[in-house]
Amino acid sequence: MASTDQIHAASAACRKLIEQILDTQQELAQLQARSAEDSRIGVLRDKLARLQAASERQFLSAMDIFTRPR
Amino acid sequence: MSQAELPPFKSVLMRRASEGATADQLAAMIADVWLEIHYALSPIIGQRGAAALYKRSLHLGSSSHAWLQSVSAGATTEMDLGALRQGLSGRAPADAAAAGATLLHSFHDLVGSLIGPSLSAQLLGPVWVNFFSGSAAQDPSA
Repeated sequence: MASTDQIHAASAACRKLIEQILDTQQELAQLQARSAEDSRIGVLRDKLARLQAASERQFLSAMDIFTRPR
Repeated sequence: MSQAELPPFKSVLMRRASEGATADQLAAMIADVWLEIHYALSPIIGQRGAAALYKRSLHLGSSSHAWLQSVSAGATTEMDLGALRQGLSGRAPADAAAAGATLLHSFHDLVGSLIGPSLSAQLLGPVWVNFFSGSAAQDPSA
């Protein structure tokens, strides 16, 4: 049985990760537009990949909570 | 379209059906929008996350269109849009339109409840704009 608190927490965690991904994508695009050689590009790509993996896990977990009886 | 407003999926698809679109044409249109959803969401929530939303939407939609349950059976870790397209093509145009609209509404509500309407609009706004502008431009007799 999913509680309202669990649902809100799962939803908030999804939103936070998505916002971080969007911010990182934007930062990466700006860096790439300035210079394709910037060493920070690789760091940001790694960060983005980690965030995307975490987001997928969090989303699947949230879906599981959302689909439980309330 | 305001964030609180429900996108008029049903009226657009039913209008296309009433204008003479075949079930095949409607199936292609609906599968195309799901493909765009996949492209918009997979880089953010992963293929499995996007597929989970699709599968849940099929499950919710099957309460009013029971045959969608058979489409859902094939959807596991990715969206099986071939099965959806085949299922929709086998229906009467009005039924295909209604089922497609129900699916999109279920998905829209689900995403909105999971991540909120603002973030949902940010991620999916371009998909809806393409869907509504494309559907207005398409000629069902083409």
